[in-house]
Amino acid sequence: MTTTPVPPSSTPSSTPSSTPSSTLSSSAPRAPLPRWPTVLAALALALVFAGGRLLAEPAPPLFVAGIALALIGASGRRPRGDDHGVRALLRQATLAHGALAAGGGLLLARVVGEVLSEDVHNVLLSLGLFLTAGGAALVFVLELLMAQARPSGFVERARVERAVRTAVTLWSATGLLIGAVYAAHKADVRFDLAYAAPSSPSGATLALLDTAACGDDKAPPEVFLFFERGSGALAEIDDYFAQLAQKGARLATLDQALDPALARELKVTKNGTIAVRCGVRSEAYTLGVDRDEAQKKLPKLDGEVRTRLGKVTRDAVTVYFTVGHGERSFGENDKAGRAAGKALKRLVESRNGKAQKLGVADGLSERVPDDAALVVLLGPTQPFLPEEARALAAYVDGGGAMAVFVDPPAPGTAATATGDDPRTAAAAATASLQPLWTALGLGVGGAELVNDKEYVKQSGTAADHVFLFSTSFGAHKAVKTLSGYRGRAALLFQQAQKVTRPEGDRGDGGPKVSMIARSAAATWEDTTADRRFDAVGEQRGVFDFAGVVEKKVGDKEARALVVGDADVVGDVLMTNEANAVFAWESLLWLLRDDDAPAGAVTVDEDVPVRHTRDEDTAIFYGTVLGGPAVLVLGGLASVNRRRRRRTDAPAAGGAA
Amino acid sequence: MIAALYIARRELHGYLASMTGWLILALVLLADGLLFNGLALAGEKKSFDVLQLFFYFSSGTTMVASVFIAMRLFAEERQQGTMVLLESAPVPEHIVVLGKFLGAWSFLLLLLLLSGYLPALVVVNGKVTVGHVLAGYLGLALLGAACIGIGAFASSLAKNQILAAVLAGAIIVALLLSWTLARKIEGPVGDVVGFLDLFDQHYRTFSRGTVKLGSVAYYAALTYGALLSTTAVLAARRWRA
Repeated sequence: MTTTPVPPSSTPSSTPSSTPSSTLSSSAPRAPLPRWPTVLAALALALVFAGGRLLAEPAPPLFVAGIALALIGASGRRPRGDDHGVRALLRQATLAHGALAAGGGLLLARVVGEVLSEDVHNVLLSLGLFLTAGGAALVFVLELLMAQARPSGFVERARVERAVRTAVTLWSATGLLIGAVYAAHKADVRFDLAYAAPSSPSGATLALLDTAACGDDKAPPEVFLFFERGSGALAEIDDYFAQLAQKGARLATLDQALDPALARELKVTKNGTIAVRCGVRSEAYTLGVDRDEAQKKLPKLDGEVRTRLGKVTRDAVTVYFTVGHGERSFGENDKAGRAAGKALKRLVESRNGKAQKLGVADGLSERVPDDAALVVLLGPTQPFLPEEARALAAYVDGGGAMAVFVDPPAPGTAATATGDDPRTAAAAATASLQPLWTALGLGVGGAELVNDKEYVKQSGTAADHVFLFSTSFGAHKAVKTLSGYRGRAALLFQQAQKVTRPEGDRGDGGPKVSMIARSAAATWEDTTADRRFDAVGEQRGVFDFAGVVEKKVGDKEARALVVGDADVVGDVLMTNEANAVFAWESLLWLLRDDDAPAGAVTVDEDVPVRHTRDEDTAIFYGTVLGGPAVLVLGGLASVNRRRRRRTDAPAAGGAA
Repeated sequence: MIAALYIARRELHGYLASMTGWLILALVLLADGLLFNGLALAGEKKSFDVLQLFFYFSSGTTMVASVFIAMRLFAEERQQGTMVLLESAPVPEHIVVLGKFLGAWSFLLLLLLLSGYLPALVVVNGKVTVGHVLAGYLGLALLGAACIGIGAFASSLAKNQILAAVLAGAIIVALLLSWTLARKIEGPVGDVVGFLDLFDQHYRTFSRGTVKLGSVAYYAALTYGALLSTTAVLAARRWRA
């Protein structure tokens, strides 16, 4: 069948049913199909667009002019003539012009209806756009049909109906699909399946946001994203900040060049910067404008934002970390392989804490500085001077806050031993803190804790028996989230010792001691230092890994946390969610910020993918050549087998 | 639906019965392997970055593969003169389109499945979740479905396979560039144009292990829209025939 229009005189048999009244011998068009209504429709579309978009302010007169042109066009498409197909074509064209005019009318109503609610505005905009664009599209589809009909003067009615039906179906489907996608987008349902979920704010960040009250009107914090429109870096982070905005943050995206006054006020000098403001305090973080740069920083974005939020929403505090006794560093893991405390330091900074060193040179032998909100002893391995121990005890007795993380001695080490091996010397450090233990009413001691039934399997050897965990938590504010996950969340310990209460009754008014993390049953103290259970001399049981102390001192309250393992807040174990939550919640409690909901905290400790040279070579050849080669060989075998089958079949048939 | 599945099986068989299908699989895996080793694994990157880069580069190979897989769907029938068999078959156009799409998409899914050993290396040597891998592959599968849909539409319009590939490539590039175009357009129109973007706006979150319902709906809608248009084109051709 041909698709080219042919003179009616040459196709008498092709259209008998659709043109019953046609006089086939006539050579002149029998129905007027002028082009001017289509031209008017194009002009109407242009005027409506110009009225809404091209000028600085919407121009209702242009809308009115556009609607008028569309209506005049509709009058030019009045059904007439003898041919059914042409009449149908004109009828559909009238409707299309009408839809165009109606769409323009709805858009005009949106422009002039300033008192209407935002929802009504949106409905008018959606319907207006749908009808305007749909009507215009149909006008042009029908114009194509008219172009084919003009030489002959007739058109098959079924063809018109089919074209209109297809156009309307496609356009309606497009409208529905756009609506469905828009609704799904607005619902903002998401599932973060990656480790550390860098595109979502952590619970701790949201908790900071939730409890923040800025300025006299107690408003939520403001977040300003200084990025140029369509920035690649902005695309990387807008999901994250959209979720912050959903949780209450007042979010604004600005261009530093277009808002220089505000940028200056927030100390932002270039695009690619995120600023957070609460009342008069503001903090900025530079992410960069480059997409790749932003991608690299994305895993740490939540921590950086949390730190800034902490700084603008919480009063600054000073947290002292004792030094000079072989404590964990804030740099890399030490020579003995002990994990550093970078993650803990970052958490302190997230709470607007300033981490300061405190050693003999800083006056620790005399007293703890008055501005100390918290003193942390992070895995000391060398003895404290008696003056230092007394100063620490006096600080607690004066109502201070302290966190003590002490590693157990190496198996078989005497309490007085010192030396290069930190684990050997840890016993001496613990012993030197006796005045502090007395002040706290809590201490650590004994041998390494071991469990050969419930432990974290790592190397598959007996060494794993000291890689323990706790799923049993006390009912205390320092572990309020973990206690809600009792039996499900596992707080990890790597070589721990027990926390104990000294013998004897301290009487009324003494420290209130609460144990907050306990070991699994069947744990024992490895007094024989062989990591094997000996029925003689060793006894299985439940031991306390950590305890807290509250002590009323006048109108103050001393608070302390004691844990028999420093790895629990070391960089390695802080990658475990429960350890990060434990560190964050206990920190908030020690800083007397425990009324705020703590929420989960995400610590970025992703590991690099490392291979030896041999492994790299094997991976390269295996992935680049091995995989494809197997496929090509498999393909050859498969195709040849098919060919053989095909050639064998006729041969077998012939033999039969 | 059974007819669609029958057509899909025939289509998938068509890919695997010739050496061309196997070579497409091998070439895409070769490209994936080279990009994985040369760019994703280069230097000392953290496992999250390695996996994200793998999905970033795989999206390119997936889009190209989709165009080559889809270009033959209808254009080849037309070139071989077998289109008339489809047009005269006692099944509606949408069943034909659905069957052909399912066949081509199954072939693409097979290709994605075969590339699984590359992210598995990251899972073994790094610290990523299986959920991240699954989210990335879901993104690739949806992106591939949309590209195959567009390819099918182009194939239904074009006279030969080369033209079909060029047309599909042009549409996909236009959708990829809409993000750049959106940067130049102010106001809600710019937002709408940006939302049409095939990659930046919708795919990147999958590569980071986040599944967003809005992006899933976008790819599903784009695929459906492309297949609906293909059906309309076939219906128009059948009617004219």
